Amino acid sequence: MRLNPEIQRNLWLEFSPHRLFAMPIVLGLILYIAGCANDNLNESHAFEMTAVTLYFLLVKIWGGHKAAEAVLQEVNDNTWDFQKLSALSPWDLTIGKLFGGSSFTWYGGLMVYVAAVWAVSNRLNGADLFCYAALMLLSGLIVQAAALFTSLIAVQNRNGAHNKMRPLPYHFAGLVIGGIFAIDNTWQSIPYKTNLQNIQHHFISWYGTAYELNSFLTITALVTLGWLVAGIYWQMRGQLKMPTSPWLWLGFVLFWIGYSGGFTPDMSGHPQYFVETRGLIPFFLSLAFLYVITFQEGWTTVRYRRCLSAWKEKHYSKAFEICPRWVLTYPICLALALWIGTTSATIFTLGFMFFATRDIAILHIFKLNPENQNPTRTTKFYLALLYLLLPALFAVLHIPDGLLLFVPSDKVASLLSGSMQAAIFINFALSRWHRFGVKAA
Amino acid sequence: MITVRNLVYEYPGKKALKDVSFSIPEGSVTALVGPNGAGKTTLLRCLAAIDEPFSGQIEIAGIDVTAEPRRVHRVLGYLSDFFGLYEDLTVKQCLTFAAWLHAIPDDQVDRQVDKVAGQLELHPWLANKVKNLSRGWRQRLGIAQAIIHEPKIVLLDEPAAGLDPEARISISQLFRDLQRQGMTIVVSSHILAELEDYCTDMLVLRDGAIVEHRENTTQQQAMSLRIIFAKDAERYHPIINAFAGIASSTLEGDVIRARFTGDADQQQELLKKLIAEGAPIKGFDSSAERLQDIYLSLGKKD
Repeated sequence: MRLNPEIQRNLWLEFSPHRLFAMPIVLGLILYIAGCANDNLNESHAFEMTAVTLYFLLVKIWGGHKAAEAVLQEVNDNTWDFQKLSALSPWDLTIGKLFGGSSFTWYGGLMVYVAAVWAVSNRLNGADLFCYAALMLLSGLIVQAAALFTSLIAVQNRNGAHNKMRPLPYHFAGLVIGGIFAIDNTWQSIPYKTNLQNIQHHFISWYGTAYELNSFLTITALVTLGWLVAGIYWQMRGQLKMPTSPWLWLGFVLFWIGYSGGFTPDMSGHPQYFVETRGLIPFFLSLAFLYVITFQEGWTTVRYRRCLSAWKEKHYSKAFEICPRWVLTYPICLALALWIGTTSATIFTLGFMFFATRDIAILHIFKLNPENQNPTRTTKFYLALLYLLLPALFAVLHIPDGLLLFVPSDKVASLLSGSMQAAIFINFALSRWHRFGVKAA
Repeated sequence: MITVRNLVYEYPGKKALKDVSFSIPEGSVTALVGPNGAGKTTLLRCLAAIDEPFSGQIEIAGIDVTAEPRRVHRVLGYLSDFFGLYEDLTVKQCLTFAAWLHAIPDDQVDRQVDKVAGQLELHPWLANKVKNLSRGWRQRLGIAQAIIHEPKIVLLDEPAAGLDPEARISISQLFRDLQRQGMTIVVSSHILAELEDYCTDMLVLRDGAIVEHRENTTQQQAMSLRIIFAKDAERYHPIINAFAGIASSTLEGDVIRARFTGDADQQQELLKKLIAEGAPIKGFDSSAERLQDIYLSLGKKD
């Protein structure tokens, strides 16, 4: 059976005989020195800490960087079209890019991984050891997968620009996402920590049932990695011009809404709070997804026109496929806001929706202007002005009511201001659409 | 082999291709010419199923490009104007990698690498790293990678840019060889003289629209006439224009240039007629019309 061509190419580049020998020798020496810091190698915290740190440096720092630049380097070097025109499937590209560039870092990473798990086996066993080992491995994979996934989104949004793409922001995004699952892992590795057993057996309540924290985190990490790999696969399909229906995105949003809904404390004795608290985390999560997809998805006026054209020609599945994902995410957000608004004592979620609508309209105003070179950046600038500078001005002028005009809340002034601003900016965006968007020159 | 119907490609606020329609026969070598920004690269990228058009249909070897882009990728080879290579691999590794990417069976990879290296005269360089190659050899390697899977159709965007005359002649020879093997080739280039050697068809693109499509230019080659008058050239211009076989003509001072599609007898008749009219001709020459003449005459039509 032939090895994945992309992995093979990276093996040619990364695995020189010199490097093959140097890596285990250097790592072995560092670990031996760390081990000598204690009398008993097997019980040495210095050894464990060193192994975990080396794993972090090799897999998450070096490997994360390699994963982030796996596709970016191809784009920068103008070799990406060559790969896209090949017979490789989206899975081949997913696996090749995920493990190809970082293959050498895994070569060293797995050595220190085994050392760290061996060291920790002195104080953990059974399910605890398994969770530790699994989380350590998964968090490394998540960093790399998240770095690759976010870099692919950047490639999708590139729109033919010829400036070089740098991997640092996407590597950082990977570290942030992977960091969520490393917290517990790293914590356990801190030496001289008191009451270690209690920390290991923390429980978490999810939909009213108590789960052991480490097991819960391990499963969550596995699911997160699954979503990231699915996301990379979907992005690769898009790169290969294969159909990418929005079902994956909708499934992703609904899954995490459902997942986050499980963390609400059981307040069934107080129905008004129960509904409010049960829905709030999913609502804010969906709102975050709405903002992320609106600002990160590379939609243009051409995409809108293609979507409308497909709709008019009754090619509904095509229109659904082309449709910008924010359009599909918005109703989910709105439904949650209305559900919370109608079933609890608060309607401030509606205030958030008014302001979100306004923000999306502002982005459209700039995106619909063909002269604007960076509409997303311009929009972010004006949103910072609206959300930070103006409220700060009212604060220093001691006009607390003025603050309500620019910050979502359940106060009438805020709701009225939000709805009016949304209406004004939508109107402006529509006039821009009629002027620039309806027809190309 | 390639059929394009009502192709429209849009960038935000601008149409890069406007209702483009044409067809290219199997086994032809088509020169895609036009000024910068005419839409040549966009058209090639749409044909290669790298960019998706706004509307219209493209069929390549009977495959609908927008519906089945991956099937199209298997039957074509494409080399972009700004292509890149894997600098730290050797030439042989690059070709082997290209063979793997195109799913060439393991037992045929070495044979295919050897064959394409022979076609592009890359054998002496197989063990060299790409970063040590000159511009000309890099171009050859790029073409070799694009054709290693023996595609039915090859799309090349400015393949001879930056090459020395020797390398250009060699590439012209390669295109003729590929055509003989039955490949259909579309070449975009600014250097019309070099296309002359091997192109059978010409597609002229201007401002996102096809302004001319000449099929089989070698067989239906027109003549380019140049008639130099001692004086009064403008008086004889209408006579020349009205003569059978004259497709178009231009007056430049005392010189009339004409595109002539008639045969040798008609050419003689034209000269006879002008002398009979008392035209003060001091020079007359005719030559096979070059792509450059066709291209320039199209510009003057506008």
